[in-house]
Amino acid sequence: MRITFANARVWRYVMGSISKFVEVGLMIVNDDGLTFKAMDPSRVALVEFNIPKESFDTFELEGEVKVAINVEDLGKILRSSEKDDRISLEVSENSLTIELERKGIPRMFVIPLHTGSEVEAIPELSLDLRNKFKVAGTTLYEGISSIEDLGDVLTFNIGEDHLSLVVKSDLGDAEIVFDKESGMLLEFEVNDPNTSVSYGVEYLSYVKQPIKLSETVDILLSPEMPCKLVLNLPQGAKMNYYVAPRVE
Amino acid sequence: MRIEEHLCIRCRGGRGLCGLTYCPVIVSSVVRDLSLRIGSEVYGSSPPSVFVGRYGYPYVRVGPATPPELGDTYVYDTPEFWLGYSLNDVLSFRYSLIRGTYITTIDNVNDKYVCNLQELVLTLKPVDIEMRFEKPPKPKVLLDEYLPPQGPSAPLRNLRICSNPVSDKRIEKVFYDTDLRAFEGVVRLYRDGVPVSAIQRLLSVGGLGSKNFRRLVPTRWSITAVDAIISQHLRNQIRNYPPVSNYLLFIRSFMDNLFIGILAPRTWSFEWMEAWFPGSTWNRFGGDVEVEGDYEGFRGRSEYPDIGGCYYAARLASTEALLRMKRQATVILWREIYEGFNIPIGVWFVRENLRAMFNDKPKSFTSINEVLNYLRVNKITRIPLDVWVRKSKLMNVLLRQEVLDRFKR
Repeated sequence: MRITFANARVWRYVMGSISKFVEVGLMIVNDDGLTFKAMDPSRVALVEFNIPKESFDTFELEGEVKVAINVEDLGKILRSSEKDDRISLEVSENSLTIELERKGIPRMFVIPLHTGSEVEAIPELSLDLRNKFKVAGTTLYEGISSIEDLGDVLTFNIGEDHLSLVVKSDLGDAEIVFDKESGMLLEFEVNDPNTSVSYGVEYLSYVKQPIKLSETVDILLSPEMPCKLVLNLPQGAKMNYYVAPRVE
Repeated sequence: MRIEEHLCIRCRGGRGLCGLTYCPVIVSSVVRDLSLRIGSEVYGSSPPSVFVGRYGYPYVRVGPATPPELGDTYVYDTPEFWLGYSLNDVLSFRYSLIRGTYITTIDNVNDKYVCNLQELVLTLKPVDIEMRFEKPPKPKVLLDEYLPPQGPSAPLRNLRICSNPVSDKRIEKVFYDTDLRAFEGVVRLYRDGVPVSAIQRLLSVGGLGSKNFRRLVPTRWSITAVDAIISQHLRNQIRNYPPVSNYLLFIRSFMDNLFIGILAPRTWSFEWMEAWFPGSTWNRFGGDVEVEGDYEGFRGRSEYPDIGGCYYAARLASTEALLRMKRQATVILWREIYEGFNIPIGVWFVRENLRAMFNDKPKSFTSINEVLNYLRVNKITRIPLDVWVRKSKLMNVLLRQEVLDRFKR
């Protein structure tokens, strides 16, 4: 198998953030494209990174490939990638070769494939999330950045025509409102107005960098349910990120 | 803290009427007696004991310590045994250790004098030494949050090793392996059964690490470094084990300290919290109980915890216990320190007490609420349990954080 993707920075940000809370992930490459799934050990957050086949410059495949990869190692290698790098992945029997290429000069890295059973237990989730908000990636990034240090719990308050992010702490409360008037909310669909749902701030902070890189982010919520963030990344890449709720 | 005179007359060091965990009269008389007995030289059996100060780093005061007596003094510098003694005994051991000090730079590990110190710490048996001082040691003692109490000291003029120390083969092998990194050296010694206190001594005198990176390490730092290294190594092992099957509760009450350990059936994470009562060591002048703590998740932490080196001492005891069980867990440790405990004694007190606590049989529960009910009904803690629950990050996670498995297809 050999695949080439034109924007290594997407990989760098995505793997860099996943490596903050996951050690090992499962990479599946088939005729539909590439999927990378991983779950944090405390089973609170789950990530699915998808790139459709059409988004790859090169896509050479002989049958489905399913391998476990140490995300920390991969993240470290990708730290050396830059904006105009291309990334190629090649899987052999027991190793993954990563090639970063800039201005025709390739750098090759080889990491062993992971041989453990941790990744087998990544569940398929069944969620009926009835409220959807679309915001620009940079807007959500700024929102999370400005309140993440103030407390441990982030509450999404679902309004009829807006979404607010609230963090409470001993110091006081902080609130950011996304609405259409201010232009911070691009689209919304609300079925459970005047409800709220809370999540650990740290889990949202983990994915700040890929959020910043995303063109838009869909925030899908329902009371007492996990949240789903759909990060619409450049070159057709997409990252679905799920976080289990907190019961306050 | 002011002690009323009539209490001492009625107590005479035996009944603890002043509420302290040691007798200030007995301990100060040990120091006073010592100052009468020592002049400008001392001859005795070093446990072995060495000390590297941190003030002036990278210029540090380094030197051996010995009591002015011959015989088996091994226990004087081996915290692993100290829980079996009263605090008076431990303080007496420590205050009778007379230190010679010599100022050198941290990279001067091949200096003849430092080599003598390295020779001392290669053995686990007392070594007879003779120290001549520039002037007689003053009867002054050093109390520190991290270090065991230290006795009188004076600038050293000359050090002579009088007996022939028999090196411990395990320590010797690591000491002479100059390609072995310090981390690996610490882990190898620990795996070979060398006491943690001996590894800390060896690290502090520049006896560990690859050849060009050996340094003198202030004792205070080496204690924390060794606790951190070993517990990190053990943590990496236990994270591969399945979680404990129930909520386990450990309780230990010792010398005006209460230790509570909760092991929850989740993946590894760790929290260490302390509640200092007014009048206790680090809350002498406050009016309220001060609760502080720090924690780490499954991946550990990269920043030094605000609460200090006791965090790593506690983590070491916890990972040792989990390794014995071949299980991982979310570990929550709470410690209450009451008024009578008002002397800085060192992190060994936390490490050894928690080791002892985890050796006891735990109580088993099926939910975290049952654990909290048990603590509440039996009034185990002196501060309201709600304060602990509110301040504990990991307890909040256990009580409030859902997991995604509940939403599986």
